[in-house]
Order: sequence, then structure tokens, then C-alpha cells
Amino acid sequence: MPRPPQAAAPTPLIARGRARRIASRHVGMTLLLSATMVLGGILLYLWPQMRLVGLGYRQSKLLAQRTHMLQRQKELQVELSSLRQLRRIEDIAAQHLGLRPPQAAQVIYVRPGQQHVVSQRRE
Amino acid sequence: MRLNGRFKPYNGPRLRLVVGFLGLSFCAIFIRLAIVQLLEHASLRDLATRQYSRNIILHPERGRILDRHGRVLATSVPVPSAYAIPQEIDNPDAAARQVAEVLGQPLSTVQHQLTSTAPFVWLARQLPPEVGERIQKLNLRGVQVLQETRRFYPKRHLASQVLGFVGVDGLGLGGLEHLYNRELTGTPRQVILQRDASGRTVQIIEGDPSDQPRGADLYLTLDERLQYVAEKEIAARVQETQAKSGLVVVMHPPTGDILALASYPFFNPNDFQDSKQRVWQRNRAVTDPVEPGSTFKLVTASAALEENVARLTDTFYCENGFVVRNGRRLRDHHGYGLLSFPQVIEKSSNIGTAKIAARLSDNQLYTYIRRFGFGEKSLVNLPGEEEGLIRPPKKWTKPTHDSLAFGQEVTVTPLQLLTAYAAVANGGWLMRPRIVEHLVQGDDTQFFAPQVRHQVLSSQTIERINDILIGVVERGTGKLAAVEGYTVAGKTGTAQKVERGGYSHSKILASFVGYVPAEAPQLAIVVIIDEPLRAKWGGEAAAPVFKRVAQQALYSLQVPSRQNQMLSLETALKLPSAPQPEDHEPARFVATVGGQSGEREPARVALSTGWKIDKDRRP
Repeated sequence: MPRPPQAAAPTPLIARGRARRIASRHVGMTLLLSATMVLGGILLYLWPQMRLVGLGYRQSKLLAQRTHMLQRQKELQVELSSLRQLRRIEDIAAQHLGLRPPQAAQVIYVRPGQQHVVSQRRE
Repeated sequence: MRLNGRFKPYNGPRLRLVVGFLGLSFCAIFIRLAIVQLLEHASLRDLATRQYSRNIILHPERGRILDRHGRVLATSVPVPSAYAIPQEIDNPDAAARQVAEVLGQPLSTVQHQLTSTAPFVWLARQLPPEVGERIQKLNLRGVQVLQETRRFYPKRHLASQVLGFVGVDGLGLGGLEHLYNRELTGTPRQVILQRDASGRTVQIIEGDPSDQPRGADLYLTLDERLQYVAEKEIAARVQETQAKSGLVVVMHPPTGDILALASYPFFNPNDFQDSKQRVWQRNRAVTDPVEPGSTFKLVTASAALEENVARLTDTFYCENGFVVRNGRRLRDHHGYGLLSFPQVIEKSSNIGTAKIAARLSDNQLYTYIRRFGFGEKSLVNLPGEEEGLIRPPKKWTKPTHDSLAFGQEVTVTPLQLLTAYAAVANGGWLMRPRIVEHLVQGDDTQFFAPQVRHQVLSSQTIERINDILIGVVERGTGKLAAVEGYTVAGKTGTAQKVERGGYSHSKILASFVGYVPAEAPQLAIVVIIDEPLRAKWGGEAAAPVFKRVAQQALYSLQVPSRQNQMLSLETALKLPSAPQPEDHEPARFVATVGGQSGEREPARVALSTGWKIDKDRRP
């Protein structure tokens, strides 16, 4: 009686090729994963660096603005001090507003500690 | 090379050559790496740092100078300055035309600057901001604008001789600006920035560029209002009397604080390079000693009373105005006969004073002159102070004793004279005059406390001298110094100026020194008018200035007069309306709240118009 044909066992060459394909797929995946991780790592590293540079530029711009504003404030303070010259104020009081210094008897000195009453009165 | 599915390693000479070459290359790279990392590390790191980082020296902003109430007298403002780098300019002639037009300078000057061989040339410094902007807008290669600071005095000539001035390079060249230059200038600070190729700041490596360093702020004892009053009045009086110059110094006797120091003609420190003003830049209150004349009789009278060699009831024969004593002719401006001790001072008799002084020995008189602080620096914190001249008794000639008695053969600075009168005013204590109250550097404050030098006179002598000086103003030569509502004590002086080895008959120095209110002095004031043409006596030329300055200063310092005591606000508000003043013009009435000396900003309240103080309702 003839023996039934048996399933042919895979040849070693086929098995090796398949194993190689599987292995190379794994390697590819690993490489892709590694590359992604490296890229991610690089991005993670570079993003704050870029952000830092961007913020640095922004800070620099704001500092320049601040310096400019302080300079303007200084100019205005100087102008204010100039406008507060007593000679100028006296001239305005006398010539434009018609004021004159009070005579000695026209002055009332109020004792200290009365300021709150004065402020209420003025309101 | 494939043999039975296996690779046979090639081990030929070519491979060895390649491997050898690569090995050598790697060795070379490693060696170079070692050199770079180990040997050249520091220098290369510096090179790299220099490429991307920039060191900036932040020069401190010069500190301000303020009065005792914090009002700014001197400050610094950033201003543009134009410069050129001639080697970078492509077309100097065309550039010169544009720059000269903007700067308003002669074309030849600018051409000369732009064709210079120097690597850096200032075109114009401390320009108005709009001119700086116009220069920048020209956008010329090699012509640039940078920011410098300029000292600015917003009150112009106010206290200019005290403040001094600052040169274009930011160095104090006169007055307090010079004396306190180190403190005002401050310490520079370094900031390191990381910059990109276009010069923009990427990152701050070290320091804080926003934290601009500052020099110390200098707070003076001067009061701007009193300074203004003093300057206004002395200028007016010098013009009225057609004098050469004049000065006023106001002091607070209990502390020695100088509240005002005015010297006319003034100079504007914003324009310090004006050669016409240069002669008036000196602070003559401390730099120019003068013969004091009759104001010096204070020393003679005080010494005689303190040494008990004369009493107030003693009388002196004044020779009807002329006598020859010790080989010298003595004259009085009026002929007097018999005068009591106080009358001698009230009438300012030279002969009477010489006779009082005759009861003192040379050493006694000299001791009191020195005790009042004459002949030595007052140690005020102002530059250029002179000590005056007083010779020791062994160098005196025969008439020296008499001359010294009425203020000749001695020179004193106006500040020394004022300090001596302030000593009488404060009960006998010679104070060190003070003009800088404190320095503020960041959070640190350095105070300059008032300093007593020594006691000059006993309280008993002070009382007597005080009465005599009150008499000078009430009955004597100083009547024009009287201030309504206050008791004034003082002494007039009319000193002949020295000219060609003798005393001039035409050139005089008119003066008045005094204090007010005499019962509790708040102000000591010296007034000196140099060579007045219209009023020839101290009582005529200088005393009115004392009156005007004192009146306004007392008002400003809220020192109530005898007629005008302090009221509570409720009482003041209940005062009835009074008829309008005689001239029927509406008057403005001011109530002043406070009155405490040293109060920073006393509130002033305009209450109403048409009020009058009712004496019966005054508490």
C-alpha cells in the first residue's frame, strides 16, 4: 500500500527568508521608532530653546520700550520742575490772576491736627 | 568572492591601506580634539563668548540735588550727541552739507571733521532731542547718534552758586556738584547680553539691564521758597541801589541749617560755558572774606559783658564824633557825646566801641574773636571756603586793638559772620553751618546731623546782648529792618573797602545781620550790598532787604506774629465777615495749617474772602 503523501516540510531557505523579512520589519520599526524618538527628543530640546530666543527678543523689545518710556517720564518730570519755577508762578498769580500777597493781619494760622476738618470743609 | 554562500574576508593590501588611512585620520581628529578641548579650551571659549555676547557698562545716572522738601534743583536727562567715524563715510562733502544744515554749524567746520584722520570725531554733543532725530533720519553711513546724559537745572539760576555745575563729560566742576561728585556719580555696573548677528539681544547672561544704577540723591537744607525770596529781594535791592553785587544768607539758628544762600548777579548753570557769567560762579558767601565793619561790634560788646569789664549802665564819651587814639583818627558818622553801653552799639559809635574794647586786653579781645569762629573755617560742606584773616596779638600794631573793636583789620566771610550771630540767637552755641541734610543711595540714607562746635557766651551775656541788638532795630541804626508783628535783633555795618593801601571814601560794603523773632529765633539773616551808589549806609541799603526776606520767610515757615496767633480751625471758621479792605479790592485770605518746623508739605487752605481777625475772639 502506497504511503499517503505527507505535507512537504518548508525548506530551510524559505524559512530563513521569512525570518529575515520579519526581522527586517522589526528593525525598520525599531529604526522608525528610534528616529521618531530622536526627532521628538530634538524637538523637545529645541522647542524651549526657540521659545527662549523668542522671549529674549520680546524682552529686549520691551526693555527698549521701557527705556524710552522712562526717558519720556524724565523729560516730563524736568518740564514739570521747570513749570514749577516760583518766579513763573508768581508772575501768573500777579499778572494773569490779579492776586497779591496777603497783608500780615489777613493771615490766619490754623493749629496742627486740623487737616481732616479742612478736607471735609473743602468737599 | 562568494564561496558556498559565505563571504570570504578580503585581507588584501588595499583594505589595509584604507584601514590605516582611516585609523590615522581618526587619530588626527582625536589629537586635534584633545588640543581643542584641553589646551585651547579657554581661549576658544573666550573667542566664542566674544562673538555672541556683549558686555555693556551701565553708567549710573547722576544723582539729583533736591531742596529740604524734596523739590528738584538739579537732575540729569538723556540727550543725543552726534559723532562720526570718518573712514566709513563714502562721500564726505555731501554728508557734510546735510549734517551742517541740521546742526546749524558752518559747512567748513563739519567738512573738516568728516575728513579727519581720527577714528572718532564728535560732531556736536548734548543736542536737543529733535536735532538728534533729524541726524538719525539722514541715515548717513559713518554718522551716528548716541545717548548721553546732560545735567539740567530746572530752576535755572536758583541757588546756582551753591549747586555749581557739571561739564559735558559728566564731571562736577563747581559747587556741591564738585564737592559731592563721587557720591552723585555712583558706581558703573556691567551687564552681559547674548546677541544675534543683527545685534538684537537674544538672552541676558549676567546682570539686569533694566536696573539702571544711580548715584546718590543729595538733599540740601535749602528751602526753595526762601531761596527764591532771597534771590528776588537781593536782586531788586542791588538794582535799586545801583550796587555792584549783593548777597543774602538765611540760617536756622538752632541747627545751623542754611535755608537760603543767594548771591547776585546770578549765573545760569545750564549755560555754564558763557564766559560773561564765569565771574559770578564763585560762592562769595564762603570764598570772599571782607572787612565786616560795625557788625563786628557784637564781638567787642559780648567780650566786655562776658568778662565783666563793662556794665550796661556804664557811659562812654564819644568825643562828638572825632578823636585821635593810638595814632589813628577815629570818626563816627554822627557826633555823639555821652552814650550808655547799649546806646554805643545802637548808634554804632566807633569811638564808643573802641573805648569799650580798651577795657579788654589784646589777648581777651583776640580770644573772643576766635571763640566766635573767626579766623578758621566754619567747616560748612561747601567747596572753596576761606578762613578769613585775624592776626595774633603779637603781630598787632598800636591802633589794631581799636580797629578790631569796630571790624577793621580783620576779614571774615559772610557765612562766618552769620554763624556768629546765629550763636547769639540760639543761646550761645556756635554751630557748624550745614547745607547738605542727607544723602540717599538706594535704600541707604546718610544723615549729616547738626553739630555744635562750642559754647561762645553764657546765657546771661546772651540775654544782655539780645536786648542791645533789639535796641539797634527799635531805636538805633537798624530801624528799616523792623518786621511788623515780630521782634527783630540785629546790627548794621558800613565798611569802607580797602583801596590802594588805604580805606576808600567812596566804595563801601553795606551790611545788616540779625535774627527774628528775637524771643525764639527761627531765622538769622545776613545781607551784604557791595558798593551801593544810592544808599550809603548798612541801615539804608541792607536793612530793608532783611525786612523783606524775613517777612516772607516767616510767613513761609508759618511763624505767627504777635498780632496773629494760631487759631483752631473751628474758631477761624466762625470769624465774622469783615468789611472789605480800604481799597475795596477783594482780598484773598489764607489759612495755614501746620506750623511745625520741618513739616514737609504744609497744606495751605484758601478759606474765604473778606475775613478779618477779631482780636476779641482770638483764644
